[in-house]
Amino acid sequence: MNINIDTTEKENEYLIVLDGELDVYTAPELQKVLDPIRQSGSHNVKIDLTDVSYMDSTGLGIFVGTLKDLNQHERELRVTGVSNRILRLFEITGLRDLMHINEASEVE
Amino acid sequence: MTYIDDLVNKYREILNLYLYGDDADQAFDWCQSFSEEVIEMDTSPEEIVSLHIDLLEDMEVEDVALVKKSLDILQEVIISFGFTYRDYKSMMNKLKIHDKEMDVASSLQETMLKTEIPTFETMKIGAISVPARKVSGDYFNIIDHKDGMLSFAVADVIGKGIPAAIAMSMIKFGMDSYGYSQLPSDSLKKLNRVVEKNVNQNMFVTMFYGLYDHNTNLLYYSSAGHEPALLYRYETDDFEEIDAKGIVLGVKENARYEQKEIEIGNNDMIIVFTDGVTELRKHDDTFIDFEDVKDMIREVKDHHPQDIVQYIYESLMRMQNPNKKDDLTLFILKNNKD
Repeated sequence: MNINIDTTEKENEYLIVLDGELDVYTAPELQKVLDPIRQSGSHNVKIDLTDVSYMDSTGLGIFVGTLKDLNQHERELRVTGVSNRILRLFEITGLRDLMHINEASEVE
Repeated sequence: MTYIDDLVNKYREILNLYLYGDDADQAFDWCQSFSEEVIEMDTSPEEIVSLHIDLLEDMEVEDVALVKKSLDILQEVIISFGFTYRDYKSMMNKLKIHDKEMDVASSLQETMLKTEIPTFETMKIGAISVPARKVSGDYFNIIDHKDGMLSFAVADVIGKGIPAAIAMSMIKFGMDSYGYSQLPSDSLKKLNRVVEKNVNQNMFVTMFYGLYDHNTNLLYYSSAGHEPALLYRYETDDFEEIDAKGIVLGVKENARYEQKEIEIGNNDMIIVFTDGVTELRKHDDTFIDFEDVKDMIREVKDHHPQDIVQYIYESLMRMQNPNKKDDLTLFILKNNKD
């Protein structure tokens, strides 16, 4: 199982588009991309899950960690393109209330 | 021109420059980038040696002094392989240390975190918890308060390895040390504070916490972001989902947990599990249909809960894609007041 990670930087935000499955096997790859962004805290982060067919709790763990780090720097985490199956995970765990999920993004 | 031809030509150029040119330093510089390239391609040292021999022949280098001189280049290239080999060895050592640490975590789980399943006259309990790898992220605990009350919790620790094992011991000793029957919402509130202070950033814990009073047949329950549990109603042969609102442990400092209560009838079963059951991937990579799990439970509903969990576990293992294994835990409490 594989994941493609495409990162683009614009002004104060990193847009990270994922394509594939986000699970215990592929999560370290996303972790590697996010680590420097989380540490510097200079940007907001938007993660697009439109092409993610499956995500497990390890994936959620990355979102939790990223959220904690970004909040310390008063930055935001947005998650978009969340399918119903994955949305269920965010809802059961109560994490939906802490993150911006599937919110309509501001007009650019 | 193929990639191999390209490398052969590069090596020929290096030899030419070193043997007949006047810039030895430049030749050695080229050696370095050449080694990086061939190592990247997984070329073996003996292939480089035969390349060297072939080229000497091809370039008609026969003079002994020149052949001897050419060996400087060969040596320079081979040195890099030595470095790579040493990197490899140190990585293997690290891996060995890592394996040992995993063994420690795994035996910690097997000994310290082992939960005995208590037996009662008025209820029966079955539980199974099987790790996908050496160290499990799943955990369950059952405490008999000896006052007609029983606490049980099923948890999934996200974030594996040693941190997960440590988080589990914190939870176990937290639960065990209360010493008296506590309401689930209070227990989760306390456990959340413990987990929140101690775990690393990516880690969190989902937990279903129940307190069953077998004098009144009442189940009090709360959930910290855990999969909803099931209540099997024997009389109607139906399943009810039991769930309460609450965020996972370890994320929000002052989290509060909703608590609900429900009456358990005779032969009813409380069934709690982890996402190893609900998110199970079948051989064709599709997800399990949870109605199938319910049907399995119905088939064996009259058996002892320990036999039921064993039966379901074995059925699930037959369906599961072995490459997509996850920790799996099933807990069943059956009210049995005949």
